[in-house]
Amino acid sequence: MPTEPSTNPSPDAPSNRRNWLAFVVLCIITVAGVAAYAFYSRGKAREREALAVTAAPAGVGQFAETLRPPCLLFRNTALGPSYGKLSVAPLNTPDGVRYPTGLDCERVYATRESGLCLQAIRNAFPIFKAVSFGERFQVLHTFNLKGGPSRARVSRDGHWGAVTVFLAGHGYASIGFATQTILYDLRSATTMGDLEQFSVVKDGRPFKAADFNFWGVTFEPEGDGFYATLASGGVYYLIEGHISSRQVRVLRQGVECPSLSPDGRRLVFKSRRHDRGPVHWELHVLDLKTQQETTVNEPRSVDDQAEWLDADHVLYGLGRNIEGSGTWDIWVARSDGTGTPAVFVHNALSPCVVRP
Amino acid sequence: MYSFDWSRIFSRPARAGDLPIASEETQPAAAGHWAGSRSWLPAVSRTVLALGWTSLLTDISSEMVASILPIYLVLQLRMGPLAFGVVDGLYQGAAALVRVAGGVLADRWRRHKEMAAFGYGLSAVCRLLIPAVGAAWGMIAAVVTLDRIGKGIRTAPRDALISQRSSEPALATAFGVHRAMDAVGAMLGPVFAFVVLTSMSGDFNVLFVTSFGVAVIGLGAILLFVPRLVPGERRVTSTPVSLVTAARLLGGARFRALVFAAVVLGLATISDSFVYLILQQRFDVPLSTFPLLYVGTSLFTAACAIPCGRLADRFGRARVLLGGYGALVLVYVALLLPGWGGYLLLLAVMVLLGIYYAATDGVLTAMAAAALPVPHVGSGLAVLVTAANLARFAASVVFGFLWSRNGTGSATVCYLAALLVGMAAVVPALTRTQPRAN
Repeated sequence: MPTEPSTNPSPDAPSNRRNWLAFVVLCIITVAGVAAYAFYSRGKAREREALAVTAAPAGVGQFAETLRPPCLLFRNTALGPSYGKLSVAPLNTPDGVRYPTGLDCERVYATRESGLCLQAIRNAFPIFKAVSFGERFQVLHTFNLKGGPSRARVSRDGHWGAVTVFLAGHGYASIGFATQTILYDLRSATTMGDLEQFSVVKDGRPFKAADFNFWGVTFEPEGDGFYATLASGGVYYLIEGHISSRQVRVLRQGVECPSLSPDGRRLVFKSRRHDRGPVHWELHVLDLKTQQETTVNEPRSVDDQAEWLDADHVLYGLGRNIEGSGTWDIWVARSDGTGTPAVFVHNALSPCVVRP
Repeated sequence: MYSFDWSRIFSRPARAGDLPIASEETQPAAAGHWAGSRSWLPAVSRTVLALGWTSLLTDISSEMVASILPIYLVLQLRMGPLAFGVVDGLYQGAAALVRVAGGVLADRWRRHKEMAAFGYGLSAVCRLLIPAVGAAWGMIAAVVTLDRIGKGIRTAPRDALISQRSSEPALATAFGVHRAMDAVGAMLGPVFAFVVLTSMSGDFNVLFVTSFGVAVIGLGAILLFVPRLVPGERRVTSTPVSLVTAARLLGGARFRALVFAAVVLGLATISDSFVYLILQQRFDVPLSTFPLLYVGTSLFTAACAIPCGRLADRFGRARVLLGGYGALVLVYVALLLPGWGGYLLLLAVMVLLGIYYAATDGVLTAMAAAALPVPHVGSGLAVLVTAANLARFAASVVFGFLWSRNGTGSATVCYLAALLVGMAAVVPALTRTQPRAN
């Protein structure tokens, strides 16, 4: 190999002092820039909060003492001392005065006798808990959760509970992230296990894959039957199962976060549309007998497990367009695809209708 | 224990380091050119230290984002692990293509520093692009791909620089120092992310901007403190380097043996994500502690990389490399132990994985750099890393398949057997490539 040693120090060989100076200047500029941006962001966040406060119309009443159905339970997101509290509003004037309770809940679900409240203490080492409560909102039992709250449901008779959490992973290349869905026997305060431990049957044959994810349980009006979503290989299956048999069966595809109507005949669920750019979910209503599917007239993407207000209306949470303010409203839409959606409760999330 | 032998540097004709000739040697102020000449610290050139700082800062920057991105993506997009795995495979493929191109072009133009800096710069820009594109899924995928491309471009030219500016007998030590600093960055990244997110009450944009700032300072370290040419560095006047010459490097017996070893051993490697998932399943560790497992492994890699490099230079690189794979064998055995140890086992696996990374990554690179002709080090290292990554990717796909079909136990047994057979198979090739047995 013909080589030629360079005898002179190269002209661009760095002079130490000049380069150190340049480096120090670079560090100062960068640190100052980042600090300025952080400061600016804080100011913006305060502005947004102020905006959210002025946008909050609802009055806050005295504390709710007992669960008096019919009523609506939700997470109050109106800023103030009751921010994040489980709150109650009468069903006939849902957006009127709200009555907070002492429970902090990110998601909530309840029936006449008992409920589940998912809590998150988001500090250095976040702690997630599911708390079951009774009709005076007193804590009955606490279950530890392994991740951030996503969905909660309680069966009509208050016997069974179901919770979905997000388990975080590491790195955008890592495979270690998933959802986890746990079932509880609320009467005896015991855990009935992870849905991943249930056996799955698809087309009459056992179905098993390492990438299973379960979420969004909804209970049948009677007994221990339930519906939920199972995701595997990029497909979202509607499953049906029973807690006692520890077995679930795949019914069909394209169903996420199902929610059963009070009469147990229809499901409202999230249906993924890929033709609208970033992930977009429509709400669809499925008649379980006829398998007829209706699209709810809601042009915005809904990422929530909807709740039935009555036989003809569904409720769901939608973020308000004040980015990052954490402000949500509960909306109501007709389940037959007609009408236009309207705000049901301002500054609220995780609707739950408690029936008499 | 370790002392720097000046005479060996000067007597080595083919690979000149940052030679402290003439002007620098006479100025005591420039003594920092060789860091840590005290005997207990490894002596490495300023280039290696500067590149180490760049890697440390860039890793903080990228791990800051990497450790929070899945939460961000899962909450927004509900992506399943399989989709994620496939997409990740595509990114790896893109990175592999540009890696070879980066190595070949850096060799051809003899612009290793510029090529590496370009790769670092590209990744730095990506930090700002993530918040800029918002929640659009396709755009985030594109930005992540661009980030991987930046990583692909810079790796081979950077390792070529390290090898060009280090003395041959201390090559593994130089790579050990670099990899240790790299691991420190990987360890600090999630910690930085946590501090920023808690102090800014969860404002992701501030996190991305901070990550960009850290990357810019890292870019400054390579641009300002890595000399483009080093006095005394041999200039190669005509170096026809192309994809063809890169492929022809496989004709060299020593280099071919190393690529063979990397591929065979890579095919029997269970990726650390799988290792941690298995442990998680067995001991019911909360998945939220996953980042801690990576932080722990990085900690032990950082602690062991320099000692491993020095051992390799002193007692033989092939031995240390095989020792590293021995640690991996023990990891597999630990996975198979029935109901033993709990958190103690978890700790043992982190230590063993740390040793495995420390004893294999830098040492193999050093062996390859020593086996390659000087003008072709960049392209040769790119070929080696690409081959090794492809083998590891294939191993991950097959392992995932075996896992979902037969469970983790039998899959691990298969890989344990494959690794033992593989180690036995590469021993003759590796010992042949080590003519130097001081």
